[in-house]
Amino acid sequence: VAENPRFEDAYREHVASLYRFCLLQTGSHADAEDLVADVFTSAFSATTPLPDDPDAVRRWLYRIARNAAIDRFRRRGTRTRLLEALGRTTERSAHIEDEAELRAEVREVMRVVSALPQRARELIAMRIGAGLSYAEIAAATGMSERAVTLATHRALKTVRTRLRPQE
Amino acid sequence: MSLPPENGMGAFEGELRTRMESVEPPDSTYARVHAVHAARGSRPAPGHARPRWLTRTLVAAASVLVPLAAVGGGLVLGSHRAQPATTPPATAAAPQHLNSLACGWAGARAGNPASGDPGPAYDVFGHPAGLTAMPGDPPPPTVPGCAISPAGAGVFWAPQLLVHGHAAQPGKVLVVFTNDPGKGAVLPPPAGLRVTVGAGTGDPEVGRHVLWGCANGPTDAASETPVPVNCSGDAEIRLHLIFPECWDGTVTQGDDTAHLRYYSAGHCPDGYSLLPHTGIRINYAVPSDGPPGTPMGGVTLSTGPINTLRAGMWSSWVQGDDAHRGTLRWLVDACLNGSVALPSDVDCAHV
Repeated sequence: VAENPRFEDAYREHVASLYRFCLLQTGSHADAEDLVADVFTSAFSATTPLPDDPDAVRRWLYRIARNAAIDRFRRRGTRTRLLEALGRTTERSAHIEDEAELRAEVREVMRVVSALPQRARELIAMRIGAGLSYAEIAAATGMSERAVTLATHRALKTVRTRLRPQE
Repeated sequence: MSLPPENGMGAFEGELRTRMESVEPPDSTYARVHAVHAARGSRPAPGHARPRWLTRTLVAAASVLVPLAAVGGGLVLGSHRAQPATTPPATAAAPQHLNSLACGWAGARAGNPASGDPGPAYDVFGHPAGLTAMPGDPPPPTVPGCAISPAGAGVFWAPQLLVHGHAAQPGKVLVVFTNDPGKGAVLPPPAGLRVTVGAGTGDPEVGRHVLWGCANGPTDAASETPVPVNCSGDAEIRLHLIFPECWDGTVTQGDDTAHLRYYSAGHCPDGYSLLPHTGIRINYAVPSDGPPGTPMGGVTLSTGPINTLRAGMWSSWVQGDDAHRGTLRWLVDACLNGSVALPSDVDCAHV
């Protein structure tokens, strides 16, 4: 890190949005922290030099993050996921309510996003958590920009409906 | 094709971003990245200060997985070969939602619910809500001893938990159905299927499928134990049960456990279809009688020692089809298989 201050800059610039991206993807503080640590560790350890273009750095980091999230999900076995789900499924998730430090409105967003299908969750994480443009999301996911736009709008509409059911 | 109208979506996006911007990574993230580098021989810059913006913020997980609503009825009794397993094709982006439903405790009843044999008392759980049957669905069944709603639902049971000989009253049972990416579509639990887990089922890995833990403890498999242990702070103890999910297509009038196998090594045995991975949790308010982590004393079951536990599930949901929203088939295809378009007003975790 010391030998390459650009990595330090990249960390400073992107860690917060990467964390939000991972949090919305995983629905878990612990998983999000693990993923972000993995992403920067991978990035810092990569043999390829950090791209010169700041946008390329950003794309590169999110590509690593996305793959790390997918790998992490696949690595965990069926039984582990089931147990985790059972553990999380409290009567209205009491442990979430106990997290006084987490703002209520964030909890509500997390709750709604966590219930979305995986692809929709990923798009919301990229758009809202990471603040990526539709073009950047398209590049990261391999979807067309138009498909990304439509699917993200659909996902956002679902989130809005569930956050504001009276509307 | 034109893009959808904004309908205020831009403003909503902005609102969401504003909400999420209050979330920042914890300090430990930075420390962990540097620790890895230190371990590899690379050193952070001397005297490097932690970024000022790294304020200490704790962020909680919020995957809330609540009810996969299931509507009831349609018990098909008598030994028969089940309807052809018309597994729908999974879409490329199947949601693989995790879903659950809460079944209220319906009291205890004597006799083995799976076999109908007389015997010790079992706690029975059925869905308490008045879920609506679809037009044309068969009338809801009457399940002896289980005070389920008129619409019916799945039924679950477990031997009574006894503390120094007295029955502990359980909380409601929580049920989770999952599908995993890459496994293709799953079939809904067939009507009338009765499956058990635990002692006497022939499962060589009972210890992986019957697990005890603390309601306030971690949810990873490593912290689960084969016997109830004392929890810190007198927290409730919890029982986790994981049912077999590979089914050979047969439903009998009795216990169908012999027709199911656990999914193993990434597949079901030849000739078996994959049902949703199904797990349940039952909480019991049992006071601790020793230091946290030590085996709990005086705890037995109505069937004998803890290792005699054999619990079960009876699939009495209305099967329905993809044309009938809210039926089990529709929910499984919409929420687990992704082969039915999920309406925007349906939340698989809160159906």
